[in-house]
Formats: sequence, C-alpha cells, structure tokens
Amino acid sequence: MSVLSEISARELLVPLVAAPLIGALLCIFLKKRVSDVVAAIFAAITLVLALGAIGGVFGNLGSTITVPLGRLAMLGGETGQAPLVFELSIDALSALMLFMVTVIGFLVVVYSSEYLSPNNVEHPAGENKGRYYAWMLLFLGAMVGIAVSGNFLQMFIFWELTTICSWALISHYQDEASLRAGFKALIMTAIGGLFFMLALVVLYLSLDSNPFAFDALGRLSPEVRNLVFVFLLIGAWAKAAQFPFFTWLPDAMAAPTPVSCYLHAAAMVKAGVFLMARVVSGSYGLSYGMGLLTGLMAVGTIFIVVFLFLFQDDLKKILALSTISHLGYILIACALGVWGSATAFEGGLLHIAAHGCGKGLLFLAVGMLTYYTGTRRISELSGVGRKLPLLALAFFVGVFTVTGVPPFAGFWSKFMIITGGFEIGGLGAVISILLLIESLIAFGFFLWIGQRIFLGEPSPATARVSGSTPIMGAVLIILSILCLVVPIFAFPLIQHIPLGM
Amino acid sequence: MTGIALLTSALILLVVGAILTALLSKSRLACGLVAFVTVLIASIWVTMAAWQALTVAPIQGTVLLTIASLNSSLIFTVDGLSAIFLLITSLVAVCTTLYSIRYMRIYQRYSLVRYYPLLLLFFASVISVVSVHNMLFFLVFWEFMTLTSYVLVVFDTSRPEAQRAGLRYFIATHIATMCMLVATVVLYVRVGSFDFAALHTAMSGLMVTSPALVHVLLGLFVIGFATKAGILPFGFWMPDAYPAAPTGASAAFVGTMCKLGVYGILRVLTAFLPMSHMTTVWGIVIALLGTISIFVGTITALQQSDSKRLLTFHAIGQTGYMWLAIGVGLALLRISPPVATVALLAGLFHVVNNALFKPLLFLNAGAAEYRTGTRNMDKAGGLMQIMPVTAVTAIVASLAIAGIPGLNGFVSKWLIFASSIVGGFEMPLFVFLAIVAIFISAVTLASFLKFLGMLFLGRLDIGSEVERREVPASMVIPQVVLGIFCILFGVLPVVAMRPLYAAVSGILPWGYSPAYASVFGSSPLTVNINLGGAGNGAWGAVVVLIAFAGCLALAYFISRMGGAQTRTVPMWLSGEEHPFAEVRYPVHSFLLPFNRLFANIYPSIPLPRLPRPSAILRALNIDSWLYYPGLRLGERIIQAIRLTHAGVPQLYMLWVIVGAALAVIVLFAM
Repeated sequence: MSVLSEISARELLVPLVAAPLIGALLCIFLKKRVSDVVAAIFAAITLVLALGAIGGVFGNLGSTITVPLGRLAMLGGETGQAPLVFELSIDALSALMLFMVTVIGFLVVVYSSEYLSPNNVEHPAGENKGRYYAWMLLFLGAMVGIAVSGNFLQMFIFWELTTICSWALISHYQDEASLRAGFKALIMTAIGGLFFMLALVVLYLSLDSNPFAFDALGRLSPEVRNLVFVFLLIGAWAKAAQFPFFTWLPDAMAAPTPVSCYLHAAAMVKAGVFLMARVVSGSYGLSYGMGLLTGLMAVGTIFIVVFLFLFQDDLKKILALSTISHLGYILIACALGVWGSATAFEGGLLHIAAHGCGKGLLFLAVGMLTYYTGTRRISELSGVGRKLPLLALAFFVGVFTVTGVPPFAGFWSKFMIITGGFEIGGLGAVISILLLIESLIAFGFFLWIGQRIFLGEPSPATARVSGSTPIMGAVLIILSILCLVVPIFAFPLIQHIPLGM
Repeated sequence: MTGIALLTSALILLVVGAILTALLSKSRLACGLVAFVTVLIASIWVTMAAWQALTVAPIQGTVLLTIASLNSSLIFTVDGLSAIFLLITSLVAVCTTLYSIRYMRIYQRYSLVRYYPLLLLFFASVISVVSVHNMLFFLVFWEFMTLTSYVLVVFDTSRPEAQRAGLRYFIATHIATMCMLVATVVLYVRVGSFDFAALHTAMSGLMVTSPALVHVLLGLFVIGFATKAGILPFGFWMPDAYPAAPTGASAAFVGTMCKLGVYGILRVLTAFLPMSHMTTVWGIVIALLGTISIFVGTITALQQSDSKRLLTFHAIGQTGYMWLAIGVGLALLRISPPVATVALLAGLFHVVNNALFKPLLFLNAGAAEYRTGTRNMDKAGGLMQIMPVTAVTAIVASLAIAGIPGLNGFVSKWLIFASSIVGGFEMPLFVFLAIVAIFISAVTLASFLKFLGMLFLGRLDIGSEVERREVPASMVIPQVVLGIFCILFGVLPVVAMRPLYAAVSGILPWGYSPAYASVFGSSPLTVNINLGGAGNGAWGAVVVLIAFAGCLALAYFISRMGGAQTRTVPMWLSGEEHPFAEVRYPVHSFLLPFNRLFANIYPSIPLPRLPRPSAILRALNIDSWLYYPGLRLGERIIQAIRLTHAGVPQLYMLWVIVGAALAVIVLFAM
C-alpha cells in the first residue's frame, strides 16, 4: 500500500508544478467568463494533484519522496561533482505547506471570479481578468514550487518568482497607490532575496558536496553556520514582513482583496516562515544565540504591531498588521525549536495552517464586506450582521481562529507554542507570557471590531447593501469549516516533521 | 446502554440538535420544539448516566481523541461530584429550553439561529466541562462554554449596552482562562501530562521545591474560577452580562455556568493540591472572597430597580455563600474531618439549591417581562392577580433564597452557618464571616420582599395594552417543576444530602470523611447534625411543618368561630384618596437609609481611554524617518555624481588628468 502510494506521489510531483504554469500561460489569452472557468479548472487540477501527493505522504509518514530532475555542470567546481539543483521532493513539512497553498489558492481563484465584477462597489472592475488569473496561477505554481523544492537553490528560484508575482498582483488596479505599493514590496522583498542569495553563495563556497541540501547548515563550522543562518533569517524577515521590513505589507493592501488574502496572509508571507521552519527542521547545532536573535526580533515585531493596531481605521490594514504579528508567532516557535522545544516547533507549524485558514477567512470576509459596502473604514460600518449574517458568522469564526479561542485551530497552535516556551523555562517562559499578553490585546481589539461592524443598528454604508454572492458565500463556509477541522489533518503531519538539534 | 455511552450519545445528540435548529431557524416554532426535544432526550440520558455514577460506581469511558503532541487524550469520566453537576445541568437545561419556546416571541425581530444552536452547544460544553479529568480538555470546553454564552449575551444586537456587556464579559473571562492556562502549563511541563492525577504529582513536587510558585499557581486558578463564578472583585462583568441575554439563557447561565466556578475550585483544591497548610491558607482566602461577595453583591442588589439585574447581584451574593462554605471546608480539612466534610457538603448543597431557585427567579422575572414588556419593577406591579402560578412560584423561590425554614435554601444556609461557627472554634475568623453571612441573609429577605412586593403583590399596575392572563403553559411548567424541587429539598433534605455526601467523600482521600450516619444520623426525615461535641442540632422539616400547619388550622378555626370579617377599602393616604399611580411606592424608596449608607459599595469604574502617543507612532513609522529619507539621500548623491557627466569631452579629459595626478601622488606618497 505504502509502496503504491509512494510511486503515485512520485509521479504526481512534476505535473503538480506544471499544471498551474500551463494554466497561467493559457489565461494570458483569455477573457471574462472563460478565464474564470479555465483558471478555476487549473487551480482545481493543482489541488487534486496536490491532495494525491499529500495522500502519498500520509501513506508513508516520516519519509521523503524525491524526484531528481537535473544538475548544473557549471556548478561542479574543481571536484567535478555537480550538485543536484533541480529536484522535487515532498515530506511532511512540504505536505503541510502544499495543502495550505493549494486549498486556499483554489478557494481564492474561485472567489475572485465573483469578486472581480462590475457589481463590486469598492472596485467595480471586470476587465483584465485574464492577466489577473495568469499572474495568480503563476504565483500558485511558484508557491507549489517552494513547497516541493528539494533544495535551497531551487527554493530561491521560486522564491524570487513569487516576488515578481507579488509586484504584479499588488499593482493590479494600476492606480497611483497600488503602483507605489507594488514597487515598494518588490524592492523590499528583493533586498531580502539578495540576502537569501548571499546565504546560498556562502553555502556553495563552504561545502564540497550538496551545498544546497536542506541539511547543509548542519555540516558547516559554527561561525559560518551562524552567518548563513542570519542571512537566511534576513531573507525570511523581508518575505514575512518582519521588523525592520514590515512596512511594505500594510501598503500592499492596495491590492485586490483576494490577492491580499492569498499572498499576504496564506501563502507568500508564509514562504518566509516556511524557509525558517525548513532550516530549523533540517539543521543540527544551531546556537542559542541564533534562537535568541530570531525570538527577540519576533517579539519586538509583535509588540510594535500591537501598538500600530490601535491607530488603524482601515480594516484590511489591521488584518495586515495582525498577519505580521502572527508570522512573528511562527518565528518565535522556530526560535523555541532552536532552543530545543519540539512542542513549540510543532505548534508553530500548526500555526502556519491555522493562521492561513483563519486570516484567509478574515481577508475574504473583508473582501465581501467591501464588495457590498464599498468601504473598509471601521468607523463607517455597523450593523452589517443584520444584512449579511453569513458574513458575520465567517468574520467571527476568523477572529476566534486567529486569536485562539477553542475549539478553533488557532487555539491549539498558540497553546503549543506557549507550552513550548514554558518547557524551555526562563526566557522562554517570559516570551510565552508576552505572547499571552499580545494575544489578549489582539483578542480584545478584534472582538471590539467584530461587534462594532456587525452588531448594532445598520449604518448608511450598510443600508445600501443589495445583491447576492453565492460563490463568495460558499468559499467563506468552506474556510470556516476548515478553521475548525484543519488540526485533524495537520496534527499527524507535524508530528513527523523532525526538529534538528 | 452503559453510562458512558449515554453521556457520549447525549453530547452527540446536542451537537446534532444544534445543527438541526440552525437549519430550521426560519420556522420559529419548529426550531424551539426541536431544541426542546433534543435537550429533553439528552438530559434524560445524562441523568441516567449521572445516576449510575452516583449509585453504582464512577464511570469512565474510552479514549475518544488523542493529541500526541501534547500527550493528552479525551476521556469522559463521571464521578460523584461530576454527577451532581450533570444532574442540575440536565434539570436546568430542560426547564430553560421549554421556557424559551414561547418566551423567545418577544425577540420577534431577531433570527433564532443565534439562540437555540448556541444554547444547545452551551449545554453540551457544560456537560463536557464537568466530565473530563484532563486539564487541557477542561480548558477547551471551558472556553467553548464562554464562547457560546458570549454569543447569547450579545443576542440583542440593537442594545449597545448589551454589546458592551458582552465585550467586557468575554474579555474578562478570556483573561481568566489565560490565567488558568498558564498555571496548567507550568504544571504540565513538569510531568508531561494534563491528567488531574499527573497534575497532582506535579504540584506535590513543586510544594517541596518552590512553595512560592505553588501559591502563585493556586492564585491564578482562584482568579480564573472566581471570574467565572462572579466572585467580586473578579466578577465585575456579571451584573451587566447576565441580564443582557434572553431570559432562558440567563437562567441557564445562573443555573449551570455560574456554578462551575465552584466545581472548578473544588476540583483544583482537592484533586491537584495535596492536603497541606496551603489548603488551609487558600481555604481562608476563598472564604474571605466569598464573604466579600455575599456582602457587596447582596447589598448592591437592594439598590436595583431592574428585576434581572437585581437577581444577578443576588447570584453574586449566593455564589459567595458557596465559596464561604467551601473555603471553610478546605481550611478545616487538616483539622477536623467532620466539620470540613459538612462545610463542603453545605457548599455543594447550596450549589444544588441555587441551581433550583435562582433559575426559577429568572424565569419569574422573564415571565413578568413577557407579559408586561418591561423589566423595570417601577412600571409593573400586582401581577399575582393575572399570573397566579408564576407569582406563587416566585414566592416559593424568594423565600427559598432568603432561607426561610421549610424550603431548600434554609437547610443549606443552616449547614453553612453551623459549619462556619463550629469551625470558628478552630479559627475565630470564621465566626465573624458567619455573622456577616447571617446578617446578609436578612438583607436577602428584605431584597426579595421588594422584588415580590413590587412585581407580584399589591394592586395590579400594568399598561392597558397588556393581556390580562397567565403566561402560556410551556412557560408555567418549568417554573412549577423548579418550585416543586425547592419544596421537596426543603421538606426532605436528606433526599439530596445523601448523594451529595457521597460526592464530597468521593473527592476527599479515601476513608477521610466519617460515615453519613455518624454526622447526620440515619433518619430519612430529620437531619441530626453531630459535629463531635462542638456542635449538635437537628432539623426535621416535616415535624416543624406539621406543627405550622396545625397552628394555621387553629388560627383559621379561631377566626371562623369568632366570625371575623374581611373588608376591602380603597387606598387611603393622609386623609384623602389618591389615584394609585401617585401614591405607588417606587423601587428606589425601599430601605432608603440603608441604601444611602452603602451607596458607593459597588463603584462603577469607567474604563480608562487609551492614550495614543503620536510620538511613538511616528517613531514606529520607519518609512518616514529611515527608508524614504534614505532613498532621497541616495537620489541626491546620484544627482551630484551626474553633474560630473556633462557630456563635454574637455571635462572628461580634465577628470582623466586629475585622476592620473591623484594616482601618481598616492603611489609616490606610499
């Protein structure tokens, strides 16, 4: 049985990466309704292939399935042994990421077909759909590529591809603000990318065999290892919008909301923490100081962001800020993992899934809200629940998932991270208590927002709500259910993601 | 079916019922009926399971769910203590759901999808909370209970104060849960398991190595449970939140959730904490907190004019009685087993009694609201004339909560006072606390005379549009059922005390408590309390009531024989007749000197507005002071360099010469 599933999973990997790229090429030439359908079909194909591959991983948990594709002779150097540069591989960590990327990708593509329409009050637009889907599917392919990359170099290639997609998708509306935001995001994440590349160069120069393999850090001398780790960390900071790079993310909210959902909550920013999870999972002998650097910067980011919350009136920017702090949670989990707590590390990985579902749901809910009301200013909204009960339900589910109220997914992940901190004791316990404090502030703030917007008497902006959006509603329902059940799927996976120590 | 299968199927049924009612929410009657039938069946099953646990043996189920990463499994376990709470939950659930079917008509504007599904899930979570012996799942169900009850509190979305109350409620209890979570995790990391037994081991170990930490952890647990139970000062949210929910839900809250604070504190301090001087210390703390709540909560209740708010303040006061009893019991655990057992029994008995008369009072107040449309006791009065059954049950409940002999409240209060005073031989503090509690018992009576007098007795005073008849049968039956239980446990307290005693002995170390008969005697009709020389007493409700009935009959015969006449006269005041509305005694005039004395005993502290220092905001905006200025600086430097590339060949020649000269100088200088 397991042999069978391994074979099929092996065969699925190449089509898995190829499908969205083919879809992207096709969509360039399509328009309107046709592009909706084609994009949805290709996203669905990707999802099915991904689920098949994940099924293969479930059939044989704890092992890695690898498909070598090619070497670059010019990297052979003096020894003549060229490293494997192109290889697809899938293990438990890849499966977790792949699941989030493809499921949310599919849902977002489907959601977009209704969101990008002339009926959208905030941005009445139905043109350029082909271009939109092309970039979206290209991005989906790039994210799948990151998830199933077998080494750092190939991951870097897909990594930069996502940066370009991000630039194009943020600037989709092509007005002044979105063009600026797209450019800013491109510059800042590219700077991070340069550090990633620097890390690769150092790796290549320091190691004779397999310099880009995920376990490469463990084979370096401690000083070089720290250097490479810091370079990778800076790359991850830029991608995951951590301090001091976080300023691009709130600006990037000029993007269409499905894009914000996918790129800036569920997938692209997760690439940064995914990289760190890879490093922590594969490397042996990371020093205490590296954990300290990761952890303290993340705690700092979280508290900067909590402060910025209180000044925001723009709903999407609040979600963006909250995303930054939750990526900080995952980085803290990685730091605690470096310090030796498997519980915290597993919690952080679970948080990738939990936060992806919860924050994705929140973004899509806000997208639907702006679709109907045309505003995302908290002060202009109230009583929406009376008009759009389903939306209210989805928003509150998202809030409870993200802030960690049981039985939703966020509770389990946060709980494990906090437990991990106490396992470490000392500074770890302090970090855990700080996380709890942040969690409480965010909880209070989000609950207040939810009540402010959805309860009470309808405001003028709410009163003019009309029409129906069955597709968007269905997507919200599916994601709401996922917020509840995703740990059932993720728990078996995270237990088989080793922690290098 | 085995006990555990019954319990599990009841939980599944409640969840299925929640989904069904959500789907049926368009049809209001069907939704209510489905909810009622679901709760009825589930409650019967839960009752059977609990009965089995009480009479046969504690029941334990199989592993339903395992979280390997946290080394914990979901196993339902019901012991005596759990069974008691399951029984009261079942009764309260059935009564409140039946009551809600018609009551929810006053919320015609609102969809029921936010009521019945949440109510059923709320009951499911309450049942789950008391039947797990794993702290992780305890917290999960605990917080899920908060979540469902929060949605019920904010049900009335058009009232901003209900939303504020809900917000405050959820945030306060969330903080409390976080306190408990920290305490739990600190214990967990020492033993790697969340089972109660394992946490006991962890705490025993910690008591040796770092006793200060144990005090901190116990403090966190106490804060957590006190917040939920409404113990002041942690229960500050309660007077706003409970009245905000629809009455069916409010009654369910006071009957179940409010009592779980007592359940939790009993569990933690008996199951986690080894019997030691710390038990004594925290017993005293709990007793003191309880007494503060008794005093402040009940005195503040006197000043209220909103019926449900008045009842909520009493809920705070009554929970204080339970905490007082349990505190006394815990404090005396090491000193005097009989007194400690009686005190714990008294606390638990008061829990049960409260779960009968407090929901009943809420249902009474809700019935009055249903009929008259107002909860302000100034605006309605004399309802006994149109709602006799409701009024009679209200009288029963009021007298029960005030501790009038013959009703259930008396027995538990009597045991609380007795054990506190006898405990005072060991710790004189408890005598003082008992005196406060006895004094407040009188205040409770005064307060409920106001409640009864304003709302039910006196002349009928309602708007002309109000229908003049009793509330529908589906609202009357729950009140009658609860009222009957109040009388039953008042007349035959032994019926309740035997299982309660078994439950209390069950959570104490084996062989610790004396046998029931040696403390209370073996009579099924009277309670002969015998606390080993220090205190003896007896209460035989049946005997006393028969004597009372005889006296009443005698008085009746005397009045008949004397030919006394009753006559009705119009209201007369200061020599002239007034219209009723002018001379009606308003709520705030009751007990005026008393209320003036304690006017500020329950201060309302406004939430401070957060200062928003914009300087910090500017400092955090890295874009504005680092990145953009940096970019502009770079741009200027590039502009400056551009000046040198003017496109004039001579200029380039000049640069070449200057450069060559510089190179030569540098080379020679070196």
